[in-house]
Amino acid sequence: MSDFDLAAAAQLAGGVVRPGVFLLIDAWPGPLRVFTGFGDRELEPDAVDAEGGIYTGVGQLIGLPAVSQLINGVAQRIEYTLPIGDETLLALADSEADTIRGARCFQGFTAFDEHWRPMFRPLWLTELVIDVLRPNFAADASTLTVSAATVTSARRRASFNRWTGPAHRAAHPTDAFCDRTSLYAPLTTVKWPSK
Amino acid sequence: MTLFVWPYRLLTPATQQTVPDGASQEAGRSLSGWGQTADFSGGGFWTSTLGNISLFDQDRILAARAWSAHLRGGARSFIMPCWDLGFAPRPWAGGASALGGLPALADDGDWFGWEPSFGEPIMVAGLAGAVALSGVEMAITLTRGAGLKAGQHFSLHHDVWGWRMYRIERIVSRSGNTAECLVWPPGRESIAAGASVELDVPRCEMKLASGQSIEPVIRGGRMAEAISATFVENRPNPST
Repeated sequence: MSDFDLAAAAQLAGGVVRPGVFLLIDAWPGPLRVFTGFGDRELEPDAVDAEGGIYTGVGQLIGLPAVSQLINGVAQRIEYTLPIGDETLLALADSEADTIRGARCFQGFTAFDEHWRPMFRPLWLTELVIDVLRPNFAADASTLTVSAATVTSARRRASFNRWTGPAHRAAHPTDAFCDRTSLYAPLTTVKWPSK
Repeated sequence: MTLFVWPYRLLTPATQQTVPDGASQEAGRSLSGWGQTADFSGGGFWTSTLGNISLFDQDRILAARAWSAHLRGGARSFIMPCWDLGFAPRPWAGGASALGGLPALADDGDWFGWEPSFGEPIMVAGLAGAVALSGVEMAITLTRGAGLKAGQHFSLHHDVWGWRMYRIERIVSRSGNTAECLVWPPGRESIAAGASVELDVPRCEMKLASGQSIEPVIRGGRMAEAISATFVENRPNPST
């Protein structure tokens, strides 16, 4: 499978597109992989999903929220609503919720060709951290709402993100890109954790 | 757990419409009037509507009630047959049906490994090559039957997904008794070469669609009106 290229871009600009949204939740004991659609799909390993695997078609993500990529570090919270039809999701809703709190959640996007084959490796749009699970058991349809946020969304002024070393290290432990950020702000010093 | 098969000869519909379904959305029209369509179905799923199931005697009314209880409003799967024999690749020779050359009906004690089991299949076919998960190209070899045509249905029995129905969208190529077919929906599960292809009675695991019911409406304490209902393909549920 190739990466996103001009052919894929041309297909997305056509009269009919076949998008597929993929969720990868890095939880114990193993990753939870789901995607919009009915049947299962197998994806190759990539930089985000190192092992690859079968993404369970849960039928639909009920309420797929708009996702903004973190441009200029804007913090955000996103809620996904999944139908509890899969045994794994049912277990998460019932008794295994603690295994998923704090887990990383990746949302990716790809498009299928006319024969429902992925046209390019998923573009993983955002990485979030799961902190709240909310099962909703109803007579006609039971769902699981998964609330995920960026690493700084729990801060009091969550709408603002700061490029501090500790904040960046929390999401990317081996990346020293922001370690010296404080040296470039001569008028203000931001301490971590800050209020 | 073995799933029950819809009692087609007892609860016989006047019409059956089996439809490839899925979710697509129009993005809205631009100023020029053109709009883009986004298909989120990921390949889609089957729906089947059984229309005007006549309940003209006590046995049929009781059967409808029993099945209504069994289906549990859509919480339980069953096997839905698609009676497509009129469009199936039945054996044809010399300008006439070749059914006369079939073996005679078997004894009561014989078992043919599929339900309902009352005789040998009319058509016999198998996969010429393995099919991968979500594969849309399948090579089918017929050992008894006429040439395959686009629009015909067949079923495969998968290890986990069970019975799943497929429709031939296009015949890509032919070689002897083998036809390379483009099918819909994409393969529900990988399956090995040589797997049996069911052509007599294509079938699919389904459940009652949301909001549907097959509960008969009793009139005068003795009769019931005809019922209709829509069913939708269901995912396998290993726990039931």
